[in-house]
Amino acid sequence: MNKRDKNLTISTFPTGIFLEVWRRYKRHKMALVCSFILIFLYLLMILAPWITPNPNQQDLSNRYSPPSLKHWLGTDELGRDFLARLIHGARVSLTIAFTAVLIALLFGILVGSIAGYYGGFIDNFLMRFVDIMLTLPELPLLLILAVLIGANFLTISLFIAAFSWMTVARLVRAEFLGLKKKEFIEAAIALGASSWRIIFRHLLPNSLAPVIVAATLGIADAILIESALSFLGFGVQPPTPSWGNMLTNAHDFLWRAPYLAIFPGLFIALTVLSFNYVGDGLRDALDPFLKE
Amino acid sequence: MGFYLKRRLLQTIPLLLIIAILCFILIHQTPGGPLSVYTFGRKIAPRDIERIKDSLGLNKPLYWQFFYWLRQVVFYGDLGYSYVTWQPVSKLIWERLPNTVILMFSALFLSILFAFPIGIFSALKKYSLFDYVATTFSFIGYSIPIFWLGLMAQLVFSVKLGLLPSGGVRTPGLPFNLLDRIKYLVLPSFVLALTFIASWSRYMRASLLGKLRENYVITARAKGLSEVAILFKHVLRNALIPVVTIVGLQLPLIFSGAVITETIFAWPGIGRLLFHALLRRDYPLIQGILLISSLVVILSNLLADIAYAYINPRIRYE
Amino acid sequence: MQPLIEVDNLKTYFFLNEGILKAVDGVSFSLKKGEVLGIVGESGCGKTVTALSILRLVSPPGQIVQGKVLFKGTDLITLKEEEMRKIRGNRIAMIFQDPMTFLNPSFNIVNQVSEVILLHQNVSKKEAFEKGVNLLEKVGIPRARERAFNYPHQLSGGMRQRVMIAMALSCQPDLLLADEPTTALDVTIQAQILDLIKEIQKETHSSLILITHNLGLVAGVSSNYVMVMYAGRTVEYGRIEQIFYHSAHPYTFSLLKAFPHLDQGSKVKFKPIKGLPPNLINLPEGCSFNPRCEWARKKCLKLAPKLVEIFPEHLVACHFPLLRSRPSSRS
Ligand SMILES: Nc1ncnc2c1ncn2[C@@H]1O[C@H](COP(=O)(O)OP(=O)(O)OP(=O)(O)O)[C@@H](O)[C@H]1O
Ligand SMILES: [Mg+2]
Repeated sequence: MNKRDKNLTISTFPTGIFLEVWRRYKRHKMALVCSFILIFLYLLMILAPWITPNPNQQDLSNRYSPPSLKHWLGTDELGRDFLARLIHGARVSLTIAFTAVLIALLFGILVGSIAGYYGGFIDNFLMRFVDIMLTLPELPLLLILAVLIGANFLTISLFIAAFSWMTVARLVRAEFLGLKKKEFIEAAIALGASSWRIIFRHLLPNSLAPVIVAATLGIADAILIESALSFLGFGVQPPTPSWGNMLTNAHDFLWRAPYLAIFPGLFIALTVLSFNYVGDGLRDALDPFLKE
Repeated sequence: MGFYLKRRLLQTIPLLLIIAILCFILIHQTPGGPLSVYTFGRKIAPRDIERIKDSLGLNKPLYWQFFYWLRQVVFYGDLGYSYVTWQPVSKLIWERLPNTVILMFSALFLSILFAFPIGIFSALKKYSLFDYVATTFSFIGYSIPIFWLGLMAQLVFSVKLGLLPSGGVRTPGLPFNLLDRIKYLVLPSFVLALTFIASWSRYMRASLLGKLRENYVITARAKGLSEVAILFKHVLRNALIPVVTIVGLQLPLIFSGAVITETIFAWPGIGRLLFHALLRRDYPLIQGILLISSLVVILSNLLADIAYAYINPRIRYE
Repeated sequence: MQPLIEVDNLKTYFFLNEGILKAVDGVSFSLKKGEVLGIVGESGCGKTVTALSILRLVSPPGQIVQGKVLFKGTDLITLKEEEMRKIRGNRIAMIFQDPMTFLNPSFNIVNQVSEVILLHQNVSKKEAFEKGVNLLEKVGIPRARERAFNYPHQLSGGMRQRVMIAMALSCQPDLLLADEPTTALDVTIQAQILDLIKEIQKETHSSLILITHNLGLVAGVSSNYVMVMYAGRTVEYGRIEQIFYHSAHPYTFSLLKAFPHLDQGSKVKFKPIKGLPPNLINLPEGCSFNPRCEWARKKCLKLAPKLVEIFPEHLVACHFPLLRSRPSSRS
């Protein structure tokens, strides 16, 4: 990176930025509380193998046992420890959500960058494609894909990503279109920087703010959609626990052990809520870097 | 407006084509291909298979097969036969479609009925207790998985309180009775509507707040209009424009939600039909449902476009 | 003759997080029936807020904190809201700066005009519509009967401003507030719109307050009086000849100097004078013009000057008014 180039980047990316963002983020109390909830959940997930009993250990003599000291949240229809399954379910559900969002981000950024940078016909074509993708009924298609291609950890992530990259693509494109008119980009172009260099060094870092917010909210959506898939029986397959498939047979135990139906949903709702609030907090915190 | 609608109609053509191709691929991707209708669970001599292939045109090139299939669908409404029940797919779908439409529209109706007033009131009483409660509610409503909400609604209203039926469309054996039907509709449509109440009330609030800051509001005040008149005549109409766009864009989501709701509440609509077809790998039925549900979604999008054009003079007078 | 409107020590503040922004801080003037007052001053000095305060249209965080606005003898500031609504658009009407954003994009133009008529006059919808079309015709919209159903986005900027004027005229108001009615328009259109306003004002014998950056416009509509505002205050007020040929406040003086070709009228925009207008939240101590004033002395840094009558009908807020220099506009 030559010296002039460096200046261009730095001038649009001040160093105190993280402190400033953090200072603004702290003001959003709900977002702050929710970040701690998520951190706690992550600790649980990481420590799961050491702090919980085996989630697949069946004990048929001890089915549907109510919450007790030994089983904090009781046991399920096969006598497995419910809390252990919930925590292991978190690992599965959150990992899928993260993978899906990561893939969606990469693809969305790719499509958005190409559309926004090149404009014209390419832009038109790609945005039509985005429009079409947005019109498709997501869940039925996900279900059909899962049945046709099969559902495992990776395919589920890919399927979810396939239907969630559009927002990011639109955001990146809009940012690029706006930024392209800015002087420092024009300067970079005038200096003869290559297309990819301009995209990676100048345009992408500057469109980060909205993408970060969209990704955080995207995780929330991905958790919801994965849980719905698994709930219907076409996502993560038992005995591997996921928050969704723990509710698949809920109808059967709604009478006998309603808490078995209550807790997984509460976990999903709380996690999704936390991601939504964190996303909201980030939006507020990154406000100076977001444009209408 | 004619021009605008024509353009929108033209835009749906590639979409329809893509969906048709998807459906066609679907049936060809299935184990055994289109032939499996005949081979499913039976033993047939290879000679007979060749004969069937010939008569179905399966030896012809793929594009020929596609257009033949498309012709059958478009001109004869022929969607093939279910593997499981051997009934025509079109008949199975036609039987269930009205139920889905009823559920979707009552959910849409409820969503608008609640979301818009909540959003309007939140905007007018910005930062009030009501606004704060509505905001929190909408965050929560937006984060609750719809299937769990359905289970909880059943737990509370059917299992514990015994107030409302936990599933079905009507009391079996009873002649048609509107009140009875509504009783069965309440839980599924409210459950389906909640997410949309949560998100649309936010959109309404944001949009209204934006329009309240517009300059023409000052003009309206300077004319001597009362605040109520300004809100209902000048502001709301403009605030609705972006909200209607979003409602239109989210119609596919209502359909997705209907699949889940119908499954939980044993609501005999397309979503539940799809669920069972998927369980039994009934590919012709899956294909038919995909095609029809895409049509439903595209059609409702078109309706939203018309509504949008109707309230936005900039488009009406292109 | 009793003045039509008398504004006395009007103060409108905005209560912001950063502090209290004194947008209008003690403005006084009066105007008789049929007279024209021009209000001039740099951007952000409180001209628009003054006009909005007269109509009591300042919304939170803004608030009228003090002062009287006597209109035909009644104080508008203490009037009930319902009574005030009967005056807005009816007895006092306002023409806004930017006709695009101040017209509602979702209603056709005749609707927006006849709305005022329906509101304030006891007429049927059909009559209101007819009156609306006539008004559109009168303000010079060609083929008004057909264009009546046009929406704002289908009209040019000049045409839109004509619609605004038609709206303002619809109830033959006693007082017309025109807030930079030509700023958003092309230079060629500016003159037409100005002529229209002048013509209508003459014809209906109403009073006019014209707010502008442009001293040329003040002369262009043959104002009787000129009020010069600076940082929310009246710094000089007088008959137009007094202001143009015997300006006594250093600010007015530099405004005129920065505006060399008065006789070319509206075609030339004034050049900003040296220095920046002050931050209205953090006004300098003493006279708020002192940082930019060539003649500032010690007293000016400490004590804010009061508005005093130095000649009949000529008021200045300056400790050391430029009495002897008597500058002409071509100096
Ligand atoms: N709604 C508001 N909230 C906060 N401050 C405001 C508001 N409206 C006006 N102000 C402030 O009041 C001061 C006077 O504004 P005003 O619009 O009256 O200026 P002006 O003389 O009309 O300027 P211009 O020539 O640019 O129209 C400005 O400093 C402005 O920032
Ligand atoms: Mg102004």
